[in-house]
Amino acid sequence: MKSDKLLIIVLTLLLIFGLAALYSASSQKIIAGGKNFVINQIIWIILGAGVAFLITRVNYHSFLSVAYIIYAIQIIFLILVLFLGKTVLGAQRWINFGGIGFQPSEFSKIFTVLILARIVGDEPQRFQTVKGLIAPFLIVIIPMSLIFLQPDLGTALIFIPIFLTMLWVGGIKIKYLGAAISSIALCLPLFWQMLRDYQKDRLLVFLNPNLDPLGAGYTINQSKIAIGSGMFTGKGWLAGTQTQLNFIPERHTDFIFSVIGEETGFIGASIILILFLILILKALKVAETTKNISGRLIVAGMATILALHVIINIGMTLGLMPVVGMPLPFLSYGGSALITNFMAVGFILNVRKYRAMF
Amino acid sequence: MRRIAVLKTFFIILFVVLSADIFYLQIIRGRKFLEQSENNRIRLVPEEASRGVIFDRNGIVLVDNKLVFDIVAIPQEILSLKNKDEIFYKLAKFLKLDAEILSETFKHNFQGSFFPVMLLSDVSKETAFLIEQERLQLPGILVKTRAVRHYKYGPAAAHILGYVGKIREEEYAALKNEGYSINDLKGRGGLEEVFDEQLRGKNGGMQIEVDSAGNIKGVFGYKCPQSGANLYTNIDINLQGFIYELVKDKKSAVGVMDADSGEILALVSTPAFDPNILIDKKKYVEIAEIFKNKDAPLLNRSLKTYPPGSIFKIVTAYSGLAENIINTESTFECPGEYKIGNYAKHCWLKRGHGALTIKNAIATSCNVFFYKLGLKIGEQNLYRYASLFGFGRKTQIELPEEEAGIVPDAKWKKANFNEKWFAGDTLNFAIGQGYLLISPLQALKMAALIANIGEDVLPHIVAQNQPKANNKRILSVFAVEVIREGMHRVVSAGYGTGHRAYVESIETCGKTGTAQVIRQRSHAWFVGYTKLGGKRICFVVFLENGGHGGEQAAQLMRQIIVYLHGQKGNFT
Repeated sequence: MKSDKLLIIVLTLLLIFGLAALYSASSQKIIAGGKNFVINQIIWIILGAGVAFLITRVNYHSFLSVAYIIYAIQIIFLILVLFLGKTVLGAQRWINFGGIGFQPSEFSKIFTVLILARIVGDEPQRFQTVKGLIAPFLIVIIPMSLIFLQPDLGTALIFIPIFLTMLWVGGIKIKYLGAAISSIALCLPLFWQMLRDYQKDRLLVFLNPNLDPLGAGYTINQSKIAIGSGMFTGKGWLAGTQTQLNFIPERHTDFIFSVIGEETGFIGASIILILFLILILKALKVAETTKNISGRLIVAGMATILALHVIINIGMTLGLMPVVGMPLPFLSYGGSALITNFMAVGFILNVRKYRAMF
Repeated sequence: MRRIAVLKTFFIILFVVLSADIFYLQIIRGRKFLEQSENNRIRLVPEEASRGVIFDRNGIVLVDNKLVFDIVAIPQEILSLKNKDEIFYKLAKFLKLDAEILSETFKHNFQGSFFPVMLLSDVSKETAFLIEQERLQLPGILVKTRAVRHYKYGPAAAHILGYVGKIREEEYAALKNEGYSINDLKGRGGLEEVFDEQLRGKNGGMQIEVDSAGNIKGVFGYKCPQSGANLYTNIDINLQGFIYELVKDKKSAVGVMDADSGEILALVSTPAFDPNILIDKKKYVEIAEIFKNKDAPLLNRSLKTYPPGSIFKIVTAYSGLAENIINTESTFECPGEYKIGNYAKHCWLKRGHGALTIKNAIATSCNVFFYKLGLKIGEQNLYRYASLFGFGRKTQIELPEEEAGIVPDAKWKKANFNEKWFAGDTLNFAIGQGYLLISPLQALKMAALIANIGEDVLPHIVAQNQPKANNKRILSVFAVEVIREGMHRVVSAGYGTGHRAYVESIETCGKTGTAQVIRQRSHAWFVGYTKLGGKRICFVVFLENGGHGGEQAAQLMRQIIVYLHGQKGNFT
């Protein structure tokens, strides 16, 4: 099968699965007079698919040629958020644009991949030297710091593995990569000092959930009970007691996988994992067969964004990762994340489509 | 590309780790988790901290908490019943209500299965006992007690105390990380707002394990609620209440303060509101009336700013003396009007006061004297001395929404009106008219500076906030003594404008003010002080649209002075 068709089929299956889980996760909230989460999500899916389609219509080299401008614009938006942003759950992540609220930090990941692909693609040789690494490093550290200030710890941290992967695929010498990883490790204590109290609490609770039996530790425990109690076949759609009896907070956003685990069991959870793995491996296959270095970097970067979100989010619901507020691509409720993920897929399909021309 | 192959392998390994953990949770330990989830065994039981009590200076309780009874439903139990409508039908019979309303309320207030749904709040004791007796017939229905704020003196101290209200969504977003939760109350207005963090305490709660019948089998974690801190104020609630009764039907602000320590003994603003009504959701009609009332009872008039009129002549007099422009013997002639260009500004006394010294100019509140003096002092000096008295700046009292007011000068007028400063502006400034705006509290501070002979003072309500440092003298003793003599004549001399405040054998000094307002009746002011035992007590009376300061305001002051001297034992 042609691999873009397979990609689209896998994506469609994920979206359908996600809507079903979202319906179940939010059914109690709709009864209680809340807004209709499923309808909103469908609107965002249509929007996102439209954005992805538009991206596939323009050769990615055109995007690369304006990468600096796009990068500058997103930096302006990230600064705007700090000053005018709407505070949600204690952090300023949202900005209102023509009546629609969105999170610039979500899109920032995509644009940073784009500009890194441009810089490395312009002068691949330079990239083999230490000097050549300075510009890419600065390019990443600026949006990362701005997002950290919001404060959005999870999104800021995800720039590190994205950057390392781009370096790796871009052909960095292994000794430099090793040096980069060890310097990041050395910075960790300093980084700990910069965290806000509630962020420190969250990380400590992750290490020992019983520190806070009423707060974050409670969520992790309940999520594990939900997934575990799904057993092999699950309790059935709309029949998960953990889900329907309100044991899991944020189950329509960050903890949607707990709902899937509880209601569809090991079968459903495995299907989701396999679908995501196909999506990521197929994308990386596109990267492998792309000769143009910028194109290859774009695809590898976008695939990494998706893969990291899947791994961190599911790891979080299983209690393997701290609760950092990272949505599950295409399944968690939320417009900015959905559109970002569609953009990532759009760029992957774009490179696949136009790479033959070069 | 080998490097991408490595990346693929890396992701595959991580996915395998995830699936292995899912396999472990669902297949190997699945049965145990299923048991845990089937028992629905973990519940969160929040325990509210009790809010701190606020006292007056004599230990009388101003605000405390009383218990009320609510009738609530536990959704998890109601929803598991075969015939849930029957429960509402039975309950409706006991309460003599419509069953449909109850079941609608239940649907409307539903939040989550273990979160009790409020059906009926603040029911009578009799109803609560009746429902409690019929408990067996009403599974899932509970009587819960809830602590509510009780403002013992109702509207009398409303603006000092404020009230409490449910936290707003946008506030919650900002305060979430400081330990507030979505159902918390938050102080609004007054001390309740400013000291919310101290008063509220810390909520606690338990994570408990229960069996299917709802019996507690064990406690996983417990956080003990911490009661909020108590607040000890300097307010004398009897004096506060006495003043409130005098002015409750007016638009007014009245303040009484110990001039040496800055302790606020009373601070009344009217019209007031009853905080007990604002916290009772059932009284929504009365609450709406409070918010709609065009006399704005929620407004704390003692912190809002108004033109001061003649009470500002204290500052003008001080400027003239401190700058050596006049001495006690200097005189200015008042023919009843003052011509500036081809325009005449009148004294309030049309036939004129004749030649006056500063003391008698204060006593008679002659405008022409202060016009002439003001022109010699100049706008810059007036600005400087007004700032020295604390005008144009917040007093830092522990209440929200204090206004700083305006002390104008040429620069200010240029910036705000893009106009030159005229001599006429200086004339207005000198008699407390024009752009000048001050709050009654700032006027009280001015009275204190005269009463304590120029020692800086920090007005404060909460006893714990008593400043440690000794007061610094910021005014010249000589100039203040001259003004004190003038203010003594205001009250004691027959020709003084404030003679209506005179009480035989009680030494009182004061200054009246009548601030003209465009197209409205004038505002009446009276500031002054009296000796009481070893203390110097200062006061301000402000009547919005209250006419002449020498009339109602002075009369009110007299009543307060008589009361204070009758009660003096209480302040020592």
